[in-house]
Amino acid sequence: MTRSRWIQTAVTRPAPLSSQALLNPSSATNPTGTEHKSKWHGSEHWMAERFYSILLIPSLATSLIAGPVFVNDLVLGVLLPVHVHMGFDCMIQDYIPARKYGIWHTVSTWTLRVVTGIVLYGLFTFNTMDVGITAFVQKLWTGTSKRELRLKVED
Amino acid sequence: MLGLAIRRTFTPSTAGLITASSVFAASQRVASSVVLQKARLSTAKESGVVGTPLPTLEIDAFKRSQAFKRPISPHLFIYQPQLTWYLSMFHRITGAAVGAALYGGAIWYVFFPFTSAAAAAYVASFPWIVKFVAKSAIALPLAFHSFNGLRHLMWDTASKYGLSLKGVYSTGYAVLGATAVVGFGYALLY
Repeated sequence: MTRSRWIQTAVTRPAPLSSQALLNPSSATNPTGTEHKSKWHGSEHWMAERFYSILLIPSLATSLIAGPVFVNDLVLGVLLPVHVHMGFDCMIQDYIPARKYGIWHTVSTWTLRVVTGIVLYGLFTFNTMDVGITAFVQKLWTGTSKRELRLKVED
Repeated sequence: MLGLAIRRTFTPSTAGLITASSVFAASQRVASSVVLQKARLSTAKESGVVGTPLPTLEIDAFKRSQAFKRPISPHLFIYQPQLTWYLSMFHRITGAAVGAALYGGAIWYVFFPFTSAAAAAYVASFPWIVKFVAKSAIALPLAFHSFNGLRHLMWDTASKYGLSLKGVYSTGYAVLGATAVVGFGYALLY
């Protein structure tokens, strides 16, 4: 079982024993249905988490270094809520586990999904109808933003 | 296996812990008496003996066990503070805090719309020290979460140095240093 050199994925395990193997033990060492769909099978969510985290790095760096860029604000308006959503989802799984809290686990999970949807909508509206996330943070932070300075120069 | 004979026996003088752990103590006494018979083959100084007195706790383990209706051993309060689990704890806390702030702001905007100019004017009206404290409260957690996030991604590459004990501690201190520098650096921006 080879692993990619540069990123650690989930460990691949052999498939569960088929009913034929249970009835006929000699085929236990060579069971049917061992072929997985792919070697990434079972690690999609984990990979998605790292994928969004890695994408956040250049996005945040662009915000900090280049200031407000419209496309970057839109990207941030998607990446940030998704990243936060996955973090909160992990916390729900850790602190409100289904086996212990039953219905409340389901309620929390779906509430989080609805709230993330609202946040996505809110950030998109803010990005398109107002100055955008980066310019807003700059304005709150220092009283002015690079966008305003850019617009002033263009006058 | 004979080393299992080195087992601390619970004496009746350990007040506070005795009721919650009496079940475990009893089973341990049974187990240790069984093990001690094997231990007679080992050298005398290896037989189970109570050395240092047990530490006292600030919280009442028995009351907690009553509240949860099951025996609970002290864990978070007695485990030695270490960089590893403290940073892990802070990674989650800072992530949740900054995430909650983002979510709160976005939801506020959806249900009680505001203009960025009005918000900026309101924030600018506060004294400098209040703004500095607020900026620190945002910049430091965000910086820590970002740098520790990089550390997490480094672990995901299965880096040999990064996963060694020395590497974990070195990168941990580096994260703390970077957080202080970058966090306070941004908080000082005006």
